[in-house]
Amino acid sequence: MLRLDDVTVRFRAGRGWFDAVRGVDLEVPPGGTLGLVGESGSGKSTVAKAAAGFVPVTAGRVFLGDMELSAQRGRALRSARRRLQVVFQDPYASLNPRRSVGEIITQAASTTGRTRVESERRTHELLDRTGLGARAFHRYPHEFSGGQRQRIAIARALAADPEVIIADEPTSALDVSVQAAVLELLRELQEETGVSMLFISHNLAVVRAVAQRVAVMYLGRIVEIGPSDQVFSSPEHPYTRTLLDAVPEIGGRPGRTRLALGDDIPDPRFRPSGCSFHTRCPVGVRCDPERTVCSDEEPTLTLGDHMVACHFPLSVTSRSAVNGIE
Amino acid sequence: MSVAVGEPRVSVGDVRAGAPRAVGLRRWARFIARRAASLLVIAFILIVATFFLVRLIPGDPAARLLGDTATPDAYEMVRERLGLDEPVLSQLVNYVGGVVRFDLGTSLVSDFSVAQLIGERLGRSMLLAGAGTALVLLTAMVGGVTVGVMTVTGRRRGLDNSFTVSTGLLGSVPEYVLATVLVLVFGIWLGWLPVAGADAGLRSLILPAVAVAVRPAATLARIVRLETFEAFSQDFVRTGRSKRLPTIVLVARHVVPNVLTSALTMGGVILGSLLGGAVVVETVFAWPGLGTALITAVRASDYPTIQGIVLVLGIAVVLLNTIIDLVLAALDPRRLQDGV
Amino acid sequence: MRNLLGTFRSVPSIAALIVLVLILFAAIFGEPLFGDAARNPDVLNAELGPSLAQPFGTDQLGRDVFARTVVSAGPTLLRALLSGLGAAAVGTVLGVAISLQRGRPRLQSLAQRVLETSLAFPALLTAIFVTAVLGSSGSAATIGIGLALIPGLARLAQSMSASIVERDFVRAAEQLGLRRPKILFREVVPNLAETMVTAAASATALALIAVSALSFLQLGVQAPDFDWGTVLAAGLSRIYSAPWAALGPAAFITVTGASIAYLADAIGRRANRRAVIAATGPSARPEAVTGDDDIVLDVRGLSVSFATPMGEVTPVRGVDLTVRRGEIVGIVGESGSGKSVTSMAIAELLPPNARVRADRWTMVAPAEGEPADAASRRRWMAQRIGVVFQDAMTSLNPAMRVGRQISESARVHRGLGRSEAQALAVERLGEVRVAAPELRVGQFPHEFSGGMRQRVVIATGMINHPDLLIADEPTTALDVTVQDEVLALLRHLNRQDGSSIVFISHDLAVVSELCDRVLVMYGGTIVEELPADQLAEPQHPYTRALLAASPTLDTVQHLAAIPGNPPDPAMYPPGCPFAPRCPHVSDRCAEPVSLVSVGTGHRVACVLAADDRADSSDVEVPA
Repeated sequence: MLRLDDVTVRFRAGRGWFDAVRGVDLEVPPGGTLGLVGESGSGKSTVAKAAAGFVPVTAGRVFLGDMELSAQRGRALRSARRRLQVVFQDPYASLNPRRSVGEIITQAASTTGRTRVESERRTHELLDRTGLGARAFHRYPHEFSGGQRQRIAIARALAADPEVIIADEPTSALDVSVQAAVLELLRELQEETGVSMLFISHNLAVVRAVAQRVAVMYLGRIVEIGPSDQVFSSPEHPYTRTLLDAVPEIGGRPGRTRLALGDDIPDPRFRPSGCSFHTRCPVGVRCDPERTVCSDEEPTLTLGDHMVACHFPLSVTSRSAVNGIE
Repeated sequence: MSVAVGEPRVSVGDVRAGAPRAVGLRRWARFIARRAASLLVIAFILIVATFFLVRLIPGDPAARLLGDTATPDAYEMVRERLGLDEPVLSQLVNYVGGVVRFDLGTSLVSDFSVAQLIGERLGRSMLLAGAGTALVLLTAMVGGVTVGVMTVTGRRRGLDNSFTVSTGLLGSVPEYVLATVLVLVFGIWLGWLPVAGADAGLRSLILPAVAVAVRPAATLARIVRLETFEAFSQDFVRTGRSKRLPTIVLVARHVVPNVLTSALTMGGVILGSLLGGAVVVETVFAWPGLGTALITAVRASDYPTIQGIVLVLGIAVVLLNTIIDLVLAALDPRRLQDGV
Repeated sequence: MRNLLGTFRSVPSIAALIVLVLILFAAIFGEPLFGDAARNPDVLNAELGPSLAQPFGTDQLGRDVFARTVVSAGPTLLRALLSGLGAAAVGTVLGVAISLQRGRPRLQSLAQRVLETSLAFPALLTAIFVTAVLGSSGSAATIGIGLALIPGLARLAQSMSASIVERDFVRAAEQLGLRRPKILFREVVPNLAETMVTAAASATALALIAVSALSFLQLGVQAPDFDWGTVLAAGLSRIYSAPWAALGPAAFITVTGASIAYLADAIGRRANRRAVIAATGPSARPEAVTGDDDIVLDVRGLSVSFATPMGEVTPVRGVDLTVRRGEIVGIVGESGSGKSVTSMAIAELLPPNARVRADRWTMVAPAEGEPADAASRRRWMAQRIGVVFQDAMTSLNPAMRVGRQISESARVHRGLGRSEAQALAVERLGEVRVAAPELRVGQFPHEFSGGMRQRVVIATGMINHPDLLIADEPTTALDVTVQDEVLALLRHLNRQDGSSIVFISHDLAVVSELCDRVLVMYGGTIVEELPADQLAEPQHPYTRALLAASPTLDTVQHLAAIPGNPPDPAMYPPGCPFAPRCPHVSDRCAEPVSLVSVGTGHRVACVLAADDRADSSDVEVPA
């Protein structure tokens, strides 16, 4: 439904440039959810912004259905953007404090060519469906809690009848008890409307709960992508593995071995040579000096349903070798 | 719970780009180069702007200057003095060329060189402005921070209100009123200080400097107080409290430097309003600076003098702002970073 | 509207409002009432002193100075308004236009630079410049001052609207495919309006003084017209003989200007007004006890109240907390549960409107005995308790080298010299495993990555090797890999030094990995206390629900959402705080409930748990 084709996003950094996103291919399947995970600085939010058109794509193309979104201009772009809606992270910044909830959602509903009466009817439906109730119509955003605001934002996104929703860390500002309700709401609404979703989060457990496919980003590149079950149960990339290992869990996880990272994620402006991960990697040249290919050559994604960009993917490296390094 | 504690390890990516000192020097060099370049550009814009002053005058400036009764000879002479007898482009080239050689033309009224006139008076004006600025910064910082620290808990409502009202009133007293009242009280009634002129050394500087400083100081003191509140709400001040620092240490080390930064950021604007006030105050005290010369020139439509003085004052303002930028960068190293 | 009226409730605001109403009155009715007295010369009565009929006396031509002042209120204010409002209108358009040029960064930064430079240029000088060009007149002065005020207002509008257009709700509107002008007028302008109206009022106050200054310099209004500036100038020329003729009009200008400026300020401040904080009663403080060296901290019945404009709020209600030497105690809860307030109460870092009460509160005593004066008490506290905050970036002073920040407490409280302190900072930075600490102590916080910065904050908290380290969500802002390492570090420091840690978090899993013992807080009370290794099987319905709502890496089934929202600390229910959201709620939940023991080190505050225990004891007694 939403497809990114070799997308690169370049930013200015002082006197130079750096690529926040480098040659990313992604596809959000119709009616499905693609999860995108990574640490801060990995470029996952820039992917969302590029897909939504908030930042220009430096190279590559963004498709929505059959239409090349990144090639549209003017009126055509405006009418195309409606088909892709965004749910933002901060529920306090994403609603105009000067407009009532009813106005906010009705405006979104009316962009699809509905009459005023139809738009308001749709708004009431959505207020009801998201559990906010009819009384929310005339109230203002500041009268609601964070979780309720996020429901309003979801209602606004759905009011425009989008084909794709980009959810950029939609629950990371919420309490756990509220987060579960918002995630469930998103899941139910997706089942009802068949909307596709690109779900971005730093929280792997949250992505696990909502996404059928998951992509892992590191310093602007996809390093692993595949079905959630496979990626979470048998990760191929050592980075994915260390990410999963770092997730704390009550009672611990059976078979959890820990691969120690060398350092924090590097500043994206000073990307290491070769495989960007080699400075922290627990199986590459940092731990095995003979694996110089890691610092010399950048690996490309393998082909298939479960793809990985690593010279020494974990299914190839024997487990004993990993343990030996540890 | 397999919280493995790894060995202490060498950090590769974090000690960025070698020795910090060399990086600092390079950043400073770049920063200064950027500021110098923008200084030159702005100075050029100012020169062009003052040049067009005379060309903006509706109708014929020479005719307006001389009135209806002028002889054709006098008319031609004034046009030549103003350089109006040449094409605009060559006028501009001549003017810029002159400015670069510190030749600002000749006064229409007195036949004096404008550069010479400015040279004689610039020092006095800078003295007054400098004394005023020092007074503003000192009183606003001390007063604003003190009252800010005392009212930050919201408990001293009386002090809070009286500070707001008194700075509000002082910030609205026109400089010339204040100047005249100061003369009346300290010059005439009490006879402590000279009434006018600049001949009594430091004693004659006191009243003009106070008259110039009060309004900007009141404005800045309010800002400083609000910035003090702001600083107190910062997390790092809470960190300071968690170190159990005595209030005086907390204020001196963590609050004042940050307030000073904000005060200096406002400093450029405050300085502008102070220089404006100085023009008026100079007139009241017959202070032999650029302000009195400017007012005299405007009343006499002495365009070359007006051009020259506005240009010099403008460049002085831009220069001072650049200096403020440098001081700020020294106080807050984040400002040295590229693109800021 | 009620908010707006609230602004005008203080004494200075009312005074300012009255002044403006009077001046407005003068501006409208001055001409018909006093026009003749103001204009008609009466040379026989020239230069009279003040009298009841003529409070400011008469001028050289015998005209009533008070009448002249009142009559000229209209034109003077009109010019000030025209300058101020005109400049605000032009400035707003200009500023918004610049901020909309997001696609052209070069043009935008050039425009900004030009604005900033012209902002520094003296406004009065610009105005004089304009009168020199246009000739001296009232309208030239009005235009000149208006022009001079534009850069400041444009700059304000530019920075305000630039921050608004970056907000997500504008993005959302763009994503709906709305047209630019519609977005501008519906989303941007309404959020800008209040600021610009306030700024326009401030600009009018400035213009009032500047217009008068130009008239005073005889560059503004020319005779026979007159305004406050010229009336004042005429008075000033003979101030030594007749002060009232000058001081009267001067008072008009000053008081009017100050009133406008004050009201503008008051409206502007309304948005971010500080809470009015009433004085609170005395707060409890820990007593030092010698004796049981195994207990680092023991608090019973800790309550914290805040005085707020809406009345007293009590976000912490009767918390018991005991920390043993070398123990890591976790306090877990959602926002509003009172976990952070509890920790800050223990650290004595609450704001002055907080009132802390406790039935008992003891901390391990220092070797030298109980501190007597304030300074030695500070020293005592500094060596007992270290604190680590959530946001490492804002918790560090951006303008101070990290070495000085780390060692500051040791310098102040242990009297270390500069080089000793520096050496200690290097040592601590090494202890939190920052590489090349001797280089890094000389750097500033912004030169560190997020994880490294949090290590600096931990080093700062650990500088005196305190008995107790209070860590308030220290890993919440960090990536999961960095969080993992910070947790490992805390565990390591705890084992190495035997420092006890109170660790605050919203994350059950984090707490279960790090801590020995966990307190679950909800609604200002502890609802459950249990050993960390039993967190997988909690007893309290809230803890269970929280556990079921937390996604894990194995989550494939639906998450069990908890209905409703966490309670607002301002209105806790009287009984069990979780009752409104609890699936097992009954009538008995309206009564206060206390912690009952359900196993070794496991206590639960729930009527159901109390039942279980009662049942089992019933069974036991007959047996």
